Amino acid sequence: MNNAKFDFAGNAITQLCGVKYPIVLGGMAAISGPQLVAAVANAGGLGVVGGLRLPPLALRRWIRETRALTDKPFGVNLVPQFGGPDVFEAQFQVILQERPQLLSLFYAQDYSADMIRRAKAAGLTVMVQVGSVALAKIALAEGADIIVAQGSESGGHLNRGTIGIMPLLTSILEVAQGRPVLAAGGITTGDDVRAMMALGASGVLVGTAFIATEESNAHPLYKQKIVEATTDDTEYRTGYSFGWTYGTPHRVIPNRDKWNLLRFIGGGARAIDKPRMAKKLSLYAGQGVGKIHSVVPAAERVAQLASGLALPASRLVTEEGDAFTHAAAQGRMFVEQRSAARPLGWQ
Amino acid sequence: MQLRDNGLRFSPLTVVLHWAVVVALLSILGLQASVEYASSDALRGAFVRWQNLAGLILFLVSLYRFWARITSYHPLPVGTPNPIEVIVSRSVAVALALAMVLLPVAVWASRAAAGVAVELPAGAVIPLLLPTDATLKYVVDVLFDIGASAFLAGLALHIFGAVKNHFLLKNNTLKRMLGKHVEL
Repeated sequence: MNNAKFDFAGNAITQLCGVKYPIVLGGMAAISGPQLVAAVANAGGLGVVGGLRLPPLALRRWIRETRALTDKPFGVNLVPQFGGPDVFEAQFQVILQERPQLLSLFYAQDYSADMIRRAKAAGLTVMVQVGSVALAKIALAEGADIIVAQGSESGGHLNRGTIGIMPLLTSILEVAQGRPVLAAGGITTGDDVRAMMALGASGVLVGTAFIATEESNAHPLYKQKIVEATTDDTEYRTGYSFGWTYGTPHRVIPNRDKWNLLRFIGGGARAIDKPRMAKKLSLYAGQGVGKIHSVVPAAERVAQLASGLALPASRLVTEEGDAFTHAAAQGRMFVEQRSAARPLGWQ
Repeated sequence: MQLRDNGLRFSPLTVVLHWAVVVALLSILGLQASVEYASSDALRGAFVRWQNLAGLILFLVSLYRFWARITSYHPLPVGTPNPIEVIVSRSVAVALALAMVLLPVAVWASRAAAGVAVELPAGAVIPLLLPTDATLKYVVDVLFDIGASAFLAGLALHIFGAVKNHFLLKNNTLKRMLGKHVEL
């Protein structure tokens, strides 16, 4: 196991969320269940329960099951668009009563003005995932504590637009008013984490890499497809995906097996689903999928990612006055020159 | 009283109208059998008039139900069905509501094209707005047969789903449609 061999000094995310590493599990519907969330939390990351599609009773059960498996902080992801305002309000009431550390919102702009205020009044940290600078500005204006810059490399659902993580992250950092920004999209390794931190991210949010973990609720055939897929295999779509408004952008590994209707539907097959679901659906995955080569315990995945939080060796060299040689260090230098006032990811 | 469905529950109106549609459908089928075996033309005519009334009620109720269905959130499913089952069951429910709007219209159009008055009890008559035309009647009848076959297939699937949930999966899906409050 590639365990992190260092203690991360901490930054805004670890302080806000009370975790060891700013490595955040994407709140993937049906996939990010209590076992995975607890495993990530116990490994030092921030697990986020996938609350989308969960009726209120099931959401409460999942939160309590997670609590039984870990005493570490964790979050819950909700998507207000799904199920309508009554479902969201009922889910939100569960959140207010159960009080996880963090409430994560996506596609929340129609509700966030009220929800963010109420969640913060209840003592929750609020994180909003966005795919554009305009949405980030809305979330910031409404009081979000953390912004997730979700690049179009991400698997699963995206906001409209196809902005890659590099321009999106740096642009959101410009308007973030000092609030921490997480990077999401195609991040599966420690090197990816290092690159994002070098750009100024305060941490990362990772989905696809955690699908291929022993604790995830994904169907074994789904995990297998993640492991077998190459970087070239994902596709950006705007067709139909279960439970979402038609046309909502999403990224999948398109099914190119025998012709069937399900191949036009984006989805994530759960362990409790029949194998044909995993065989026929086009399964959610991000562009980093080509760097996932095995199904591992979630703790090992967290450790792999957290290895990217260590300062690059060349930065240490740089601080001693030697020449800049490391690309990541050069990136940091660029960022530092460009915006001296901006807090860097490691800080 | 909750008048529209939301993501958590059906409205009482939806539940009542669902079973009103069932009663109307069974009435139409029962009256059709009565028409076949009626002992006199007078009795047969009376059965036809009551059948027409049931068809009119079915049409009006279904028109509202279809509109309400496509403009309201559908309550979350009970249990943990796979997404495809949810898509299919919801599509079938919407298609059945639409069919119960279109099939009565087809019956009316067929009779109008045949020049047969659509009479109701108490001497009321539904106006025949179409010209008498054998070709038009033939086309409408063919469309009705296709639609009725698809409707029966959908209805069979709908009933199968209800029975499967109630007896095999032993969940509250059917009870919810009978008015029981099911906490999601």
